[in-house]
Amino acid sequence: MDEIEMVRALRPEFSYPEDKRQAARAMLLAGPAAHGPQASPRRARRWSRRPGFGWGAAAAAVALGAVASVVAIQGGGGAGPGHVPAQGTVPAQGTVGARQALLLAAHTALAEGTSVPAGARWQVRELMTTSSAWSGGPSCGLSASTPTSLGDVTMAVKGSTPCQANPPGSIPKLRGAKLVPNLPVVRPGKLPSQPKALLAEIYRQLQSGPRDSLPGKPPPTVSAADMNEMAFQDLRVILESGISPASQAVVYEAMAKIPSVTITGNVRDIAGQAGVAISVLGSEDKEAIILASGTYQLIGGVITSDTAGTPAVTIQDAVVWHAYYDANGNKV
Amino acid sequence: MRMDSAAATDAVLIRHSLTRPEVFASVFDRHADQIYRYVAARVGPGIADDVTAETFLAAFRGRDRYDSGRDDARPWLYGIATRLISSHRRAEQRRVRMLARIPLPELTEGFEDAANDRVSAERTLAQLGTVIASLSAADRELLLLVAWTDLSYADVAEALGIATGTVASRLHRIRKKISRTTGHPARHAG
Repeated sequence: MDEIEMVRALRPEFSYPEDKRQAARAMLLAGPAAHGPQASPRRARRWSRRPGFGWGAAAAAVALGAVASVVAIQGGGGAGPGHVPAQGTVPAQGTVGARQALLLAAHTALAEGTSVPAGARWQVRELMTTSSAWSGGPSCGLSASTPTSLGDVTMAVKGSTPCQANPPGSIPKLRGAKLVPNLPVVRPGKLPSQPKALLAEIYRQLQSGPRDSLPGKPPPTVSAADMNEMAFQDLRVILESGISPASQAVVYEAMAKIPSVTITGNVRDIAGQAGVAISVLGSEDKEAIILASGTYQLIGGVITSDTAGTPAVTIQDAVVWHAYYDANGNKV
Repeated sequence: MRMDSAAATDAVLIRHSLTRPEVFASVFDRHADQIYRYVAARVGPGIADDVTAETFLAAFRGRDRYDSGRDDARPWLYGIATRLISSHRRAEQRRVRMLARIPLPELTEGFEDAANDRVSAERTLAQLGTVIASLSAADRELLLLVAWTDLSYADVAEALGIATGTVASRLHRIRKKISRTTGHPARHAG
């Protein structure tokens, strides 16, 4: 099997839904007057999601590389290795509780740096191994798993149909599994290293990034709720992208500054781990991270997407493994 | 004069659609499913609905500029779709990362034949997803047009507005990158 065949085998198969097909065909034939559908809020949000600086795990890591390096330099003073993981309780509802939990998560992230030897550069190449299930169809059990790094997920499928995995309890089987060697992800970048400035930059890029619009139509507007949800999602992508504990702390603190962030207590991630969910609700998606009860370490997340006309999709993941690497690629 | 839509080339249909816009529906009927499948594979079915509709709408609006010397409109349509997909790069990145972790039974069987090691096969898939996600947007577009459509190199070149030789040379580099990362010796389909 050559490389192209391997890539070809990765292609998922979808059929054009007949109602969508007919709608597109009808729109095409309806004449010029009908060719410009009104930009709905949902549509606006999707169109607006274009990369401000090349999103995705690797790109996010690229972007935060500057944060990692700057914070590493600052690591000698203030919070850093040697801190005790956060312990505490927070209000189980509302924005105040969410912010407190995120600040505790930042504290815990810094404390995780205790395993980094003095003098080691915090060039983290692998952050976590996660597993998740895509629940959009019938239950099928967790058919297989692929532990890798960078916030990886494992989908459950039955044939070619995504189906619901079988949590809780199935995911921890991955513990101790071998990791796949990963590409270096921390590269030079230009994101601010302070939480407030980082969040402002995220918003700025979301607002000013080029947006698609229908021919002859102005770019659609994006609601504040969707902007907040996208910012939260972007921060989570950055969080997963292999950044240092210190940089994670910066991201958590930036998350805490999102106006609509809220908390739901007593939840469990897909691996059955107890925690609190910190989430931001948009018009289509709800993005949540799950922090462990008591320690506020990141243990999982849930993304629910409910776009009009398509089946609702839930993607869950659970953090089951952490590792940090020094600048030479050695696990520390 | 009546026209046999089934027998007519895309170029003929598009030319006729300049005076009879409804003829363009035949172009849609021929290619919409292929375009949708490709777009959905790259950005997911939710976004694919819009992107596919936009692709044909843009094609319809730009049909007066279609090169009537090209009988097959697919490279043109894939090219439009590719440009529209590029505005959803983030969704695609996320999707590619996820796809690489789906254990595909039929694929795994194929890998088992070669490597006799399911774990190794899944690991290769995960690595492959990582490589695809790490490619430049231009290289990813080229790779997926080659691998996920039945376009020829010349068609891909037309879709992307580059020379056929450039397709071959860039594909060679991409193959080498995949090979280096997955640990599988580069093999060329020829």
